[in-house]
Amino acid sequence: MKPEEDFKKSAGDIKTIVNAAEKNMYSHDIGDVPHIMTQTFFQTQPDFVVQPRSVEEIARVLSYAFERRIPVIPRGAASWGFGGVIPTRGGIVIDLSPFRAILELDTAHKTITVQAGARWSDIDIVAKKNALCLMTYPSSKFSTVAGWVSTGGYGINSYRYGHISKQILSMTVVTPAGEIKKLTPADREFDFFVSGEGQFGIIAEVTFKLRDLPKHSYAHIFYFPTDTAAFEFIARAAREKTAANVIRFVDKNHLRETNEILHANIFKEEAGVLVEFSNTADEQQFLGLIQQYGADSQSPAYAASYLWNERLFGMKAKRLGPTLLASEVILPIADAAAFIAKAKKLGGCYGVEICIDSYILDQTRALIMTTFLCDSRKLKYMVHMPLVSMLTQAAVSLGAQPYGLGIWNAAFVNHLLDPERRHDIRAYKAKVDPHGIMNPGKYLRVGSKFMNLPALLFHPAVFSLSMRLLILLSPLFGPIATMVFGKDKKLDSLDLELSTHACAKCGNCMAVCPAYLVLKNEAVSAKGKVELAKKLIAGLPVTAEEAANAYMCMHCRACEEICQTNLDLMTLWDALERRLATQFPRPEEKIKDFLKTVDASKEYWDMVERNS
Amino acid sequence: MPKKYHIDIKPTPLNVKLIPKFKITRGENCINCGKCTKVCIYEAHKRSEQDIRKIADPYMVACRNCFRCIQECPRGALAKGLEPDFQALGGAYWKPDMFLSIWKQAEDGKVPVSGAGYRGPFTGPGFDGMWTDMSEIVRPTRDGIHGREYISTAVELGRKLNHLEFDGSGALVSKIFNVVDVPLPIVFDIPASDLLTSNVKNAMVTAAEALGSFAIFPSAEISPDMQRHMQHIIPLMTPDSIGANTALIQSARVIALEYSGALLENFAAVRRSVRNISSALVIVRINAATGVEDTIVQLTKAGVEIIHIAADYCGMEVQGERYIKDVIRAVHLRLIDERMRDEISIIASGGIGMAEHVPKALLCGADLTAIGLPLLIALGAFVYQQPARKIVMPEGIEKIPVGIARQRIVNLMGAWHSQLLEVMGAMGIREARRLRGETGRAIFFDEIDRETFGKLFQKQESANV
Repeated sequence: MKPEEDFKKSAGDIKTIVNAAEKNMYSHDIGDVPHIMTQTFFQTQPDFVVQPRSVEEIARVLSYAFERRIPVIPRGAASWGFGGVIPTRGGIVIDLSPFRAILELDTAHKTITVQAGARWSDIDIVAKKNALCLMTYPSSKFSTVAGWVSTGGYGINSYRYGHISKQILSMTVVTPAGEIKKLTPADREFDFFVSGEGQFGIIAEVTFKLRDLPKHSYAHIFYFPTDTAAFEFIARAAREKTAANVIRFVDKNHLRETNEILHANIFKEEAGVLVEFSNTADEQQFLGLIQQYGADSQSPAYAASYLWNERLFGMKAKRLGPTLLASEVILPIADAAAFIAKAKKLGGCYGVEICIDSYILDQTRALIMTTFLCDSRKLKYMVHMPLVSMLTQAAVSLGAQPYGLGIWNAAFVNHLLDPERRHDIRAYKAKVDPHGIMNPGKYLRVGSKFMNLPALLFHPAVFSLSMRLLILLSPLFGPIATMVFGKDKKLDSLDLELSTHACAKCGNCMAVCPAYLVLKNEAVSAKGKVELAKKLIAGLPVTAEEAANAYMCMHCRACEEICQTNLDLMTLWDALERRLATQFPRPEEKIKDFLKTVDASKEYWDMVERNS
Repeated sequence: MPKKYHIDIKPTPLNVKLIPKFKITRGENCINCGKCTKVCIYEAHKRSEQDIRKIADPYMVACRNCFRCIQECPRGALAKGLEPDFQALGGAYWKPDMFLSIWKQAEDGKVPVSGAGYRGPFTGPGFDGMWTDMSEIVRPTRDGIHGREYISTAVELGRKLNHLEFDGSGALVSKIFNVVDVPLPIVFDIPASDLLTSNVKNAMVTAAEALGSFAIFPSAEISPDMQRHMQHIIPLMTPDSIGANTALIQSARVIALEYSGALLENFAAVRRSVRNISSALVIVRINAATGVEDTIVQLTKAGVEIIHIAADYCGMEVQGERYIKDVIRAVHLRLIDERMRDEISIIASGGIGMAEHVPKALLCGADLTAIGLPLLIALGAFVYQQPARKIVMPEGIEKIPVGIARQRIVNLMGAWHSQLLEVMGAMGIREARRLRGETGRAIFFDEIDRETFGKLFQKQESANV
């Protein structure tokens, strides 16, 4: 019997995705890791995907898997790039992205209860209609609530409101054995689920605090001659607890790229500090400090507002790539400038331009995202990928913590968790998940095919050593690689093929796509269609079923509007349909059924109304 | 009881492209959500047949201006404005809304509902400068006119006697003139035109027959297949061609002759030559022009029994500055002065484009009216006044079945008939014959303007002098 048939028989009628081509969407995340790599190491194709519609259904899936010791991989919008949702040994992917209802908004207590897959963007819209808004939220606002609680948790407004876990009042979780529990911060188990990366169970519902919607937003951007000067100022502002919602550092390369995307010279190409306030008192206090300190200059308000509003579209630079690689760490503010210098030097060895984007988290720490552009279609990519780990290594050597583990950062576990914490985690994991079914092969221990031999590379000691060695050799090795493979040029415009590569797979489109909302299949979202286009361009065979997915579209243009990389998606869809039409007849019946389903869907009309 | 006059109306859409009044434009921010297709009960919004995932351009002919789609569009993507092509229709006299009204009436034969009451204009040139008790037809009275069936819209063509004379033995000595009854005070007046295809001409003739009325056609335009309906055709000819048209005159009940100075001089001879062929009544058709009332008096004295005064298509004198309404009034009053008003019937034509123009023309002194353009408009014709008169028949008009074209004309007349009943009902007048010259039932803007403000301004003017 096929695994999904056995599942249906035992666990009952829960929606599954079993089609091989469609399952493929659920075998990777936002990261651009070549298949050859993931597939050599891991069994990334899941046995099947389930889409539970209630907490009770989640529990049923888990008890089924628990009993049979089948791996379970929880998945949200898949917009975190460290392999947290990539299956390593097949198993069942629990797709919580369609489990996205907003259950209850309590305006009196300013709290909201949502399902795991609820999007921050949707919550913000609903909250704002009631004069409330989010406190801390991720820069990928179109990601899921439970996904971010399980992985990141630091983002916009962290400086003011702290980590997202500080705002959570309670979470409904399902343990690997299928037990449903409601946890509050007072419970000892609560902490395991925060940044737990799906190791201990599944977060099914979350209740968290909102804040009053501020009437105003004042953004400023100040320039400093050097990164060091900028961070000296930031350190002082943070130390003195200067009130601001957000303090963000962007380096001159980041600002140059922003200029290039805009085809205009709007930002000064210097170290920039972006701050945002919701009242003039905070603003004046900060301006006072700036005056004392003496920043170089300031951009006009419109430029600051633009950069502030672009905070949600961090991957826009991918247009120039088409690939964007990133390393994310949490570093003491005092060491930030030193790290940046080191990172740029390292990048220089490989002929890439390092961009820095950093959110100040509290008085002492900064979340630093180091990114660089490259091209995953070229051979040199094989050198660029390890560069990410080298950058992380360079940071942890300076005392940084990796921002999550997943697969690709798992080797840095010792820098994230101290021995005591590791011990606690192991003990708790052994207790709740004795068979290790929850998201296996990553986090504390990477497991791979071939008797775990390839996974040895991700052993902290081995990995750290090899990375250090690589960094050491970089001044020699980098220029050779650049000589052999050439230097990547930035892209000026995107053709259709490049567009498919420039897709960040960030999942923004999934949050707004009506076809995805109704059909609950990533293959019909813009992300899935781009994947299909990629396949066609590569000349790979496509089935009639896959082809039909391309037609499941309301032509609402929401994907195009929300796309981080500003891809010309509507044109792409037309081209895709034209190309498919040469292979398969247009699936008229399916299109008709699709429209009927959409028309009859309450969720769809709710979405239409919500966005009106 | 005699048979009641009844016009059979029947919904008859026309399969040609008409120009809708409004245009709904769909903005770029439309998300094809389909809300408009759901809320529009007239099916003006539909998904595209080529690709049902997209919404088609609005089908404006179906739009009834309810604005629901505009209000309910979640994106505010719909905007409504006037259709420029519609605004370009007609001109100063033939206003675009008249087309819409005629199309509508031709389609369903019902009194058009304007909704928010009569919006005037209560002033202006031509028929706009007068109004009757109910020229401002807004909607049919809720229960219909009380006693609608007792109102007669019939009028007579021909000479009427002031009194009858009897001899000593009680025998009638007065000569009773031949008259023809027309059940509604409208005849069709069809000018010669290349635009008229045979189906259209046949439709007009058969419609006239169905209505019990007449269609005036230049004799050369009357094709053999139309001659079966000669009882309802008035052949128009010059006095010279009477001999050539003997066959037509023999089967016609009424004929029309073009006026000329020569005709006035030897009318008696001409009349005799017609009488030698048949007993048909004779209309003399004369253009409205300065001094036409003098000519008409002379014609009446010469024994003419019916006069057709024809103004141009906008109701203006062919030579002169007066509107047809003023020409009719002048002629009517002049004939009364000459004590010969009942000696003749007067047909007025030119610029009659709306139902209310009919009772207005009658109130000014006509016995009946003749119309041409509204019939073409009912069949989908576009008329443009600028830069010069231009009539554009719809594409494919020659393929429209005679039955459909006829029914649309009948429908239009049915709607006008109903409105005439409404006006007469409101006035308490039971016979259309009695409308003639009843200016007391109408208000003329010029008159009340003079009465109200005339003295004031006269004074001022004299003061200035």
